[in-house]
Amino acid sequence: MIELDCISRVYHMGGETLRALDSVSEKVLPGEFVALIGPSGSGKSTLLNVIGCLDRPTDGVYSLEGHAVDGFSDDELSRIRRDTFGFIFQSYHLIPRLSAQANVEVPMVFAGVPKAERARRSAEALAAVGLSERAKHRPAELSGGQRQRVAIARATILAPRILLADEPTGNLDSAAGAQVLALLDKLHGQGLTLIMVTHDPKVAARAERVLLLEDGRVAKRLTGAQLAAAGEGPSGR
Amino acid sequence: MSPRDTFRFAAGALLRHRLRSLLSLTGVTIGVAAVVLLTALGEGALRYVAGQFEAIGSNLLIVIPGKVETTGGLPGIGGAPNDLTQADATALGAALPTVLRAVPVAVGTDTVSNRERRRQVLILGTTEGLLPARQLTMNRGRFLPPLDEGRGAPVAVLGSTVAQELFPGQDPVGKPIRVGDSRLRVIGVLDSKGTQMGIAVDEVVMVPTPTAMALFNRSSLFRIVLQLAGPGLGEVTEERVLAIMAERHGEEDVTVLTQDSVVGALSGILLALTIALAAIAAVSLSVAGIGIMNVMLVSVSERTSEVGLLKALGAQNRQVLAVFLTEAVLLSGSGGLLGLCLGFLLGRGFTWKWPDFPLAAPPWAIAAAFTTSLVVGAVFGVLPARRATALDPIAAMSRR
Ligand SMILES: Nc1ncnc2c1ncn2[C@@H]1O[C@H](COP(=O)(O)OP(=O)(O)OP(=O)(O)O)[C@@H](O)[C@H]1O
Ligand SMILES: [Mg+2]
Repeated sequence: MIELDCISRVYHMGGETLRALDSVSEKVLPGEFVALIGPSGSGKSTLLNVIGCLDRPTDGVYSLEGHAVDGFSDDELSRIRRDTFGFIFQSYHLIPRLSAQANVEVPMVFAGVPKAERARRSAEALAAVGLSERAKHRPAELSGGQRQRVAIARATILAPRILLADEPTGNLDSAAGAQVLALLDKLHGQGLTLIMVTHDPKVAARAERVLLLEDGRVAKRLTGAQLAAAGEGPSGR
Repeated sequence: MSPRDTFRFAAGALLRHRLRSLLSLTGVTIGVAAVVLLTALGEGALRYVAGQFEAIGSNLLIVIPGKVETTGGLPGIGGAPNDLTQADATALGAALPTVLRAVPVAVGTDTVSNRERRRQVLILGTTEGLLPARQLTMNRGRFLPPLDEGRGAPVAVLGSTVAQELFPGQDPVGKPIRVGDSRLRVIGVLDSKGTQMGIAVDEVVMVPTPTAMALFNRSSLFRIVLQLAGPGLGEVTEERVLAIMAERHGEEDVTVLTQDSVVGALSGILLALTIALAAIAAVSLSVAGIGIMNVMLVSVSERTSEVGLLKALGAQNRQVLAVFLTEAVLLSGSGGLLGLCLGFLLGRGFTWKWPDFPLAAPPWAIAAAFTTSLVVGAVFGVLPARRATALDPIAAMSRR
């Protein structure tokens, strides 16, 4: 379970301070599908990064499965990211020199999974995202949708409990986006907690809960159904 | 993460950035090769100089005109000493039972010619005694006559190179040559002997002492070489020589050089040479070090976002550092090895071209070059990587 208690993230730039997150309190239960929406600059990515322990809150208490995160060392945070979270970034963040399969194997390499097992599991994961044919291709030789599916295979390879996706379909056309969303739906169906940032109200409407962020605060809490009923959700850009 | 995986990951990164890897490899290789070669040259020069002075032989004393203060470095042209004469040489030889022979030596340069073939050479005026004193041997003919206080016979003995150049394919013995304005007859040719005491024996022409003094219009000898009857007689003889010469000249106006005193006087120069060597090695190494440093700095800063990503995917700091350390050590280690090979190869080539030069890379320089390249590589591979791992993953990932 994710518990955020009065979480703030403040950036100091020169003399100015910028509250990217301003006292956000929220709970996310295991197995939930939560969508984060809101205008550009409202703090969606910042919130997702804090939840995934990629960033540290300036203020407030973040507890993960009952443990306050701010007491953890760098290496313990790495272990939490490895064992608990899977990340899907808007711009894929694949390693250019590695093949699709090698990219999927990276988390296993650092987790100490033996080579033969890595090969087996990465082949399975690529098959699950429909990319068996492309296993030896480098990211530069893949389409955007294919890259994002490689990233999904990588994010799920160590069987995380929580999947964090920052605009996973933001760079994709609707067909490729639909494929990616179908994969995420399937993973959520298998019991993963899914937290997704999106600009697209239709995408957000698939979620069980929708949080609308404005200026670093949670301005509105909706259910996916309510958002769908509203026909058009508030949207940035 | 197994060491093999660390190695594989690091090697993959190096292979991917081929140009950069190659550049830094080349930098290290050249740096290490330079150290090996330069120190080998320096060490060779040291040995060469030391060898030259060992060639004086421990059973020789050399008397030169002019008084030198005991610690004044090499004897120079100070004051106006009395002439050192052939009579002095004869007197020393006769008066000292510890002296086997006293050989007068006069020196000058002039042109020798055989018809249109001519050449500028060093001319030594000396006597019979130089042959055994210097351990020279005759190739053909005979050497100069014994001590001759008269006008000097018009004869000459040629070094092997001079003989070949003036009389290619001929036996020079019995043939006439011209030295300056005089006509001399060749009576012998020396065996090839290389360089001794800074004199290329193969390239000299030797004539009787009076002949040389007349040729160069000199009144003083260049030196008198005393060959001792046995080892350990140097100090006694030196004192007696000084006493006899003081008596003959009315003042103590000569200097006696022994192998020890010459090497002693030269030790300052040798020390300077050694220090220069060390400095050259240090400069080459720092150049190599800066090369590695730059490459690793660029490599890490370009890959800060990769470090962030690896951390985001669950890599621990020390795993990431191990990858970068492995990369750096692979690069600098293989560069170092290549450099050693290149250095030795170039050394081989040098020795092939100039077999007389005692080229020798000192072991300390080889060890220092290799270790320095490794250590510098490791330090500058890990330091910038540490900076990248100190960032939160998202901060590192957003760096470009
Ligand atoms: N590293 C940083 N330094 C300074 N300010 C930052 C930094 N990262 C984000 N911000 C600021 O924090 C605020 C929230 O940023 P964030 O990336 O969370 O927005 P977002 O909701 O994800 O926007 P978008 O929809 O455009 O991705 C923005 O005003 C942004 O300028
Ligand atoms: Mg964002």
